[in-house]
Amino acid sequence: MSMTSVAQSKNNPAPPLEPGPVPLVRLRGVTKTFRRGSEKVEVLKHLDLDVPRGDFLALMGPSGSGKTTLLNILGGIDRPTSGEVLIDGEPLQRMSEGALTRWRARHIGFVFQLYHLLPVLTAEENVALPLILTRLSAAERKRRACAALALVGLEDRARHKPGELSGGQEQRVGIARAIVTDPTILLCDEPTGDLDRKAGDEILHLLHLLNNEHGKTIIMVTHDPRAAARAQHTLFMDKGVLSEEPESLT
Amino acid sequence: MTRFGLAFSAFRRHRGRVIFTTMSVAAAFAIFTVLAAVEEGLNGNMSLASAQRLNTGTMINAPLPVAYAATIRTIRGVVAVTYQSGFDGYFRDRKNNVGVLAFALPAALNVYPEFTVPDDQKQNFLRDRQGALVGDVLARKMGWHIGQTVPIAGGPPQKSGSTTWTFHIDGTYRTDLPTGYQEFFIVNYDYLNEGVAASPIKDTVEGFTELVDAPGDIDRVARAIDARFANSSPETRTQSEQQESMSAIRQFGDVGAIITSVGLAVFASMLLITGNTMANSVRERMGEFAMLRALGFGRLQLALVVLQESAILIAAGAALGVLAGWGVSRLMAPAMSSVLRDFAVTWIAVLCAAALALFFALLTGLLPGHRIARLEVATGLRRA
Repeated sequence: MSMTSVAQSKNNPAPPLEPGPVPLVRLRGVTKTFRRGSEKVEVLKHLDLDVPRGDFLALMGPSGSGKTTLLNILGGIDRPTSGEVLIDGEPLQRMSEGALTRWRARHIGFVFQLYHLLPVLTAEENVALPLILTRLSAAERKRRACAALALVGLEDRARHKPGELSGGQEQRVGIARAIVTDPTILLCDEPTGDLDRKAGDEILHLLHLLNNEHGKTIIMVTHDPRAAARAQHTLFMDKGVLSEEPESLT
Repeated sequence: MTRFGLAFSAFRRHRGRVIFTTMSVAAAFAIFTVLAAVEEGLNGNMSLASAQRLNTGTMINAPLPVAYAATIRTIRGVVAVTYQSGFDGYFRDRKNNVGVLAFALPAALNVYPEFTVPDDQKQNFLRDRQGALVGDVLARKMGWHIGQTVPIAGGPPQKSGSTTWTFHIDGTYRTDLPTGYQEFFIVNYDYLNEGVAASPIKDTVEGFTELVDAPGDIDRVARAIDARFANSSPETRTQSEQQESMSAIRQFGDVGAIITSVGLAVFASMLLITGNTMANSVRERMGEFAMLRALGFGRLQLALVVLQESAILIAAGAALGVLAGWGVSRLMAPAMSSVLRDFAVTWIAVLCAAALALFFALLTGLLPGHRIARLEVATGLRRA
């Protein structure tokens, strides 16, 4: 089995779980259904996906295609209606909510389109938020937050509040917050969606750096083909179905 | 950044709202603290009342014949009887009020052991019909000293027509009773009664005070006194000092009930204001809480953060309020101590305030905390 991101469709069914190198992310038969009144809406339809460790995968597709729902399921903040989700060999669907929350704190770094920084905290305090959940000393938390800020090139903005930063700088703080716990996977939901081209390029460069030089596995949802071009692989999603080629969705 | 720091950071936004909410909490707790000081004073007064003293007066507040004393002395269980009359006079200037209290001597000093007088001064006073025992507070206020002769104006007309009475200060007394009791000007009833011009008040008293042999006997003795004068004019009404204190407390109690109602209303509004502040604050930050859940904060952890916010808000307001209430009570104390000796903020009141603050913090934090605990991350992030 190839160690690149692979999506399987009904016509190209996933191989059975086999011995050998296990991908970092493995989805089998993942379905997600929402209820809208009396209507059942199937957002994800029997998805199979393998993402190897160290990959940088872009997920593209029109709005409402299910990209963010898939990202939420991968991050353990939503559960599939059916199917199996294995991250680093751990089956998420069997975890209790508490266990899933603790797992998320250890293994997942989220980067949001709208940054979701706390406006009353400084950049350093925002970055240190996930470290509250650890047993690290205050000094060590501060050291790690500063290191993360340095990695995204904002060490001189540590005492600034989000309102005093540009959009690109805010997103870099968001990325620093996502990596401060050294998570297994970075899940980025339209990280450049709210930025101008120059700031967007800087963020993509930073993500590329994290993937290339620090070996971070990144799964990024994006509408932007230029952003997707910076990833190692791109998968396309439409109406809850994943494909390697955009035209195969039509 | 710590969990407490995270809870505290909520107050860095909408500072005006936080200040006004804290002030409303502080106002409620300030009222509570002053009220507690009043209650302490009322309870203190009750404990001062002697369990062995009876007071005899009339239903219509009319003077009683001094001759009743002889009859009262014959009633079984009565150990000593004194009676009192008096007038509100002044020394030199009408602003220098002096409450002249004329007692039957020496019985009064036995009936009221709370007034402590050095023995030599007591003997001088008992020997001198024109003598006066002055509360040490009043003596200091007027600048009097033992041996001084003082004119007190504003009394009942004497046979000579003068309304100014002259007394010798033979001693001063001390007492732990409220400051009002520390400013009496005690004189001999016989001197006043003999000197007064013929009038309806001659040979009358305002009331009798009896010392009873045992506290358990006090109700029987009271009934016996009133029964003895049942067909006299005027009839008497005898109550134990504790009953009188209770009546006085009930009068205060009505005032207390009003203040309590006001206090409850203030607490209720405080709860509404604080609850509303917390609810708004949490509603505005649903996206932030969803983000924190995504970062790995548990439902309970975030609910506790909200509870901490509520606790910080109420604790700050309560601390300010208790401090303000304590300050106000200190300012009021000189005026209040004349009627309520024990008027003061006690540690028990402070502990009660702390317990109330904890209760209100739970009350105002529970609903928003519950809302946060139920938050679905994906939904919260979408709405942000």
